[in-house]
Amino acid sequence: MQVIDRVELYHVNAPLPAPFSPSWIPGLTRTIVSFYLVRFITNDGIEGWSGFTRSGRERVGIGHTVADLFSWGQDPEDIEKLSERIHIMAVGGNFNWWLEPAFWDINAKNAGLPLYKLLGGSDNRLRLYASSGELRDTGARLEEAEARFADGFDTMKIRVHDWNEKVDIEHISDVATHMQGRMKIAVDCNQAFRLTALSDAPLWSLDRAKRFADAAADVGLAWVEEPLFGDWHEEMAKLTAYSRVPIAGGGLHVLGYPELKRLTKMRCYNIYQLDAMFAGGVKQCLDVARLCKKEGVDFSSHTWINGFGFIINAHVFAASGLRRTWCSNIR
Amino acid sequence: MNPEGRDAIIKEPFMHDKGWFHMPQASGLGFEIDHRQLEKYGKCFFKAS
Repeated sequence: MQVIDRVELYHVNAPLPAPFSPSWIPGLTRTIVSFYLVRFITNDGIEGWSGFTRSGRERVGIGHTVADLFSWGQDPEDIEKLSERIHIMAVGGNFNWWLEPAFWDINAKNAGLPLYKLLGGSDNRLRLYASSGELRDTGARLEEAEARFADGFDTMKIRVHDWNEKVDIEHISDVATHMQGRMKIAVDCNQAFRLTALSDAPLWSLDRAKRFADAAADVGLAWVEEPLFGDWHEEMAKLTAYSRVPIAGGGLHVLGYPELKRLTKMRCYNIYQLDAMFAGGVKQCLDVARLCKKEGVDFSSHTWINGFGFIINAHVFAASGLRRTWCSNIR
Repeated sequence: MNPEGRDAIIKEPFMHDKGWFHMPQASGLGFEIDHRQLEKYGKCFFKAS
């Protein structure tokens, strides 16, 4: 019987070709991509890999727990049991859904198939949207949109994060008007999770989000993403019921399927954009995709963190059989 | 971040083709780790077997 026999954990810090200032972390400019890396190895030599974003040394101490829970003779195909063990870690205060795709890596290698085909998918190619990760003035944003349009993208997600809501509204209006008829524009408000360690950030009220959604609808935006704090489920449902433009989110609901099932039933979003690395792993994200289909709401994968997040979420989306435009990390 | 930076230790970065992404057809997640890059940029902080 195949069992997990060995585990290795790494820190990786690799240079970026250019500095990057993420809109959702005011005050930060990154010059490296930094992540944790896991390699599980079975007793017959099959390797499973995954990687997760790193902000410091917050996972330095998880090695023995990972070895105790996931190594020492565990069956890599028993995803239910392995997910239960990730949940045990989460109750202890450390969410590690990013480990689960490494087991799927092993299982798909055992089957001799790419993961999405093992999971029943048949979409060999995905339509991407371009995602800008930085704040820019409107002139620079228009140049960026033209460049991504020339690259072949028909949809682009831009960012806003200003204290003055008029600045945000003018930005989306100017870009959408400029690209009208050529490229769809979406916007990520990055309100779901406040990263204020380096600098303060605006916190939108339901009223501000409604005004922004009105403006976004007036200029035909494709969707408005994360316009409210992620735990404000009731307010989110009110906004989605009110809005004339699709409201999107879901990537950071770390409790996974149970939380996302509740959000879906509450109609908190029109588009559920899940990230398997944060929100329950591959299996739970596909469970949510099936629920979205049943409930008649949209599902899309979402990613940002690193190449592992990109490809794992690509497999989830290709396996979902849903053909909505999916995320790209191109900037 | 661009794909080359994002995919630093993956042998072939995941690139788009005119806004489309072609799913890898290799088994598993469909990539190979670039062990030379991992050795250069990574540090193992735990191992057990």
